[in-house]
Amino acid sequence: MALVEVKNLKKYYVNNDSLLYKLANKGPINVKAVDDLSFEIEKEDTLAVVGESGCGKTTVARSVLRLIEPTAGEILYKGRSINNFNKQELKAFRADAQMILQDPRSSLNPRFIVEEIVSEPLYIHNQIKDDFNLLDRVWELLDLVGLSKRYSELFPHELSGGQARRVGIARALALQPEFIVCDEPTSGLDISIMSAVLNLMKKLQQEYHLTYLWISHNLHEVRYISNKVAVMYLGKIVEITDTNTIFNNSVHPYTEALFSSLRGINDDWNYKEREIIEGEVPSPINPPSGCSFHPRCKYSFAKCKKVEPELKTVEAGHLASCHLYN
Amino acid sequence: MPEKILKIDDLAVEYKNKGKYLRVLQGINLELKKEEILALVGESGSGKSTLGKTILRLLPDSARIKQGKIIFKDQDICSLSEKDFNDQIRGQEMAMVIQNPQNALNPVFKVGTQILDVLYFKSKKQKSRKELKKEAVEILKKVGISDPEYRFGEYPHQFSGGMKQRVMLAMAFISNPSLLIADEPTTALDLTVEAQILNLLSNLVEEYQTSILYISHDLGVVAGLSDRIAVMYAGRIVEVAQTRELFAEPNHPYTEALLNCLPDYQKTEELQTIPGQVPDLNNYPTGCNFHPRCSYSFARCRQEEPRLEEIDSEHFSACFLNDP
Ligand SMILES: Nc1ncnc2c1ncn2[C@@H]1O[C@H](COP(=O)(O)OP(=O)(O)OP(=O)(O)O)[C@@H](O)[C@H]1O
Ligand SMILES: Nc1ncnc2c1ncn2[C@@H]1O[C@H](COP(=O)(O)OP(=O)(O)O)[C@@H](O)[C@H]1O
Ligand code: SF4
Ligand code: SF4
Ligand SMILES: [Mg+2]
Ligand SMILES: [Mg+2]
Repeated sequence: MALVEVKNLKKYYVNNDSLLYKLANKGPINVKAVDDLSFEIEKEDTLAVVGESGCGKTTVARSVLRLIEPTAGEILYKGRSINNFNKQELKAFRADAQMILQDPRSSLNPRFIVEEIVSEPLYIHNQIKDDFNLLDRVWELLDLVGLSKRYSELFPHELSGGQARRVGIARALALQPEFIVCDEPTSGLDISIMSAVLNLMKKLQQEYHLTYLWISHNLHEVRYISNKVAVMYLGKIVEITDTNTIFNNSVHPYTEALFSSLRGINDDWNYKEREIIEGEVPSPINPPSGCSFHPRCKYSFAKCKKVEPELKTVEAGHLASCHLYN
Repeated sequence: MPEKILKIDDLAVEYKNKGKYLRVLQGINLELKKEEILALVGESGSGKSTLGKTILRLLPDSARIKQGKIIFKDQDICSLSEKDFNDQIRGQEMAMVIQNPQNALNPVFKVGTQILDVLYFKSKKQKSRKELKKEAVEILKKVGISDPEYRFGEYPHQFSGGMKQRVMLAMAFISNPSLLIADEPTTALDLTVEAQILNLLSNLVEEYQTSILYISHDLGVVAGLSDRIAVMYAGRIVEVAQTRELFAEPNHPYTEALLNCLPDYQKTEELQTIPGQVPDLNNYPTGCNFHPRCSYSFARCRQEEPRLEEIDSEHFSACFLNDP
């Protein structure tokens, strides 16, 4: 049984005050942030979700942790629907499933020192027996993420970006979770700090058998950290398979376009001569008909404008949604 | 030998902090050739933007040039008056594009109007509005904005990040500058849009024969864009080389360490990390700035400052390992 199963997840935001709505006066507009998404995450796997901004990655992340209520669909954790959890079950789930956020500083309470930030989940979940071993536990957690004891007394504004992110990781680890959702955990970090965070997350995964849902738009990082990849475009998964296959034998034209921007520093190439996909990601308010990628797709044909392709198995463990393949 | 357009000579810049001046840039020596794209890379706080702002005279009042020269087309521009610099250089001979086009375009005016202003100024207020509008629409088209006539009348907030950056590039190139300073202009953009903008930039450079100082912390981006790379660490340039050579044969221990940290889809080995942290402005180490983190450091590194020396043809590095 997969640790996490997402079945036909939909999240529509209702946008009442947009200009379009007022002009058209046709009733509220649905922003289809996530539209009918299904995937599974096996225990100890790292599923990376890649895609351009606004394609719905964060919405997926927040839905999976039940931080937002889906419009439709079901999310199973260890085989049980998280939307039917009672209060107690939800609390246990909140301890078991953690999140590491994109903007670490804004997610740390500025009035708390690091010690309070890291130990807060322990209080909330009544895991404190006496104050003495609390500080020990905090130091232990800080040590895990490579911060010395002295950091326990600092405020968030006294930390560098990389340190703040590590404090966020220490806090997420406090309750010994099994599952961590990482929403662009390295974006905006310097290279040397990024590699330290990546190595740390890899080490923790091996030691504590963690399962990650890893959101990123850095394909090099995805190659390093994940063993499965889901490619999203306008609220939908267009291709999902293991990391090796995505990098070497992907089939969807959008995956091809996205990964054609991928070059190693030792490849001989330049932007001048490269073939580059045109256009930008359309708005989810008014997505194109049929296959939503068709206005940018160099393979598109008549059917693509009319019929939406379904996500189907191309070969064992490899799904894609494109009329070229079914 | 292609002609030099910019030569920076032993430049040092300081910021005032709590009444005390702190050195941000030190011993900067750098040359930019005609039609060359030179990338300036380094981690946050290393002084990249400060160097860009120094060249364009955009430093805040709290900063001062402590020593050194900036020679632009055989003229020491540090000695120009503010007025002469504004009249002759800024926006004419030199232009800049920055990370956040939101802040660079005025939200209250239509995009077209803002382009018209630049064109009007450039035409020395000679041409008619109608003529200029035609030119402006042409320019929008050239930088890849579809429906340019319609877009001309829209406001900046109606443009996506990528479109705004296209407009910024268009405006920067109107005066046909000899030098463009680009400070992380694609950082906020999506991958496919970033590739589009860099492709556009490469083509504009060729067409207008402009030189570019491209500031970035993304080695992957500059790998496909620049002719040469200058690596900065804690206010100093530690290595300069041709792009391919820098990646294939880095000389400076910091460059080497940085490349070993970088996740790369072709890499199979573990990522390395660099112990310690980038030093603070008010806490630069003695001797070589990198010595507390350098795995090769030896006694001399703590006492003397290494200078940027040519170690191979067109390859410069500031490290005592080259000078035993
Ligand atoms: N106005 C200022 N007053 C005082 N110190 C400043 C000022 N502007 C920048 N600094 C300091 O100067 C150093 C270099 O800053 P700079 O902005 O040039 O770095 P950078 O290499 O462009 O970094 P990033 O990659 O984060 O943009 C930093 O330590 C910064 O804190
Ligand atoms: N609270 C919200 N209200 C309305 N629209 C939203 C909200 N959150 C996200 N959206 C929209 O949903 C889409 C997906 O957003 P998001 O999941 O944040 O994407 P990503 O993380 O991939 O950048 C975007 O069009 C975004 O504007
Ligand atoms: S369905 Fe058609 S438009 Fe969509 S990705 Fe496939 S070929 Fe392209
Ligand atoms: S001078 Fe010394 S400390 Fe500095 S980079 Fe070279 S070996 Fe390392
Ligand atoms: Mg997001
Ligand atoms: Mg900067």
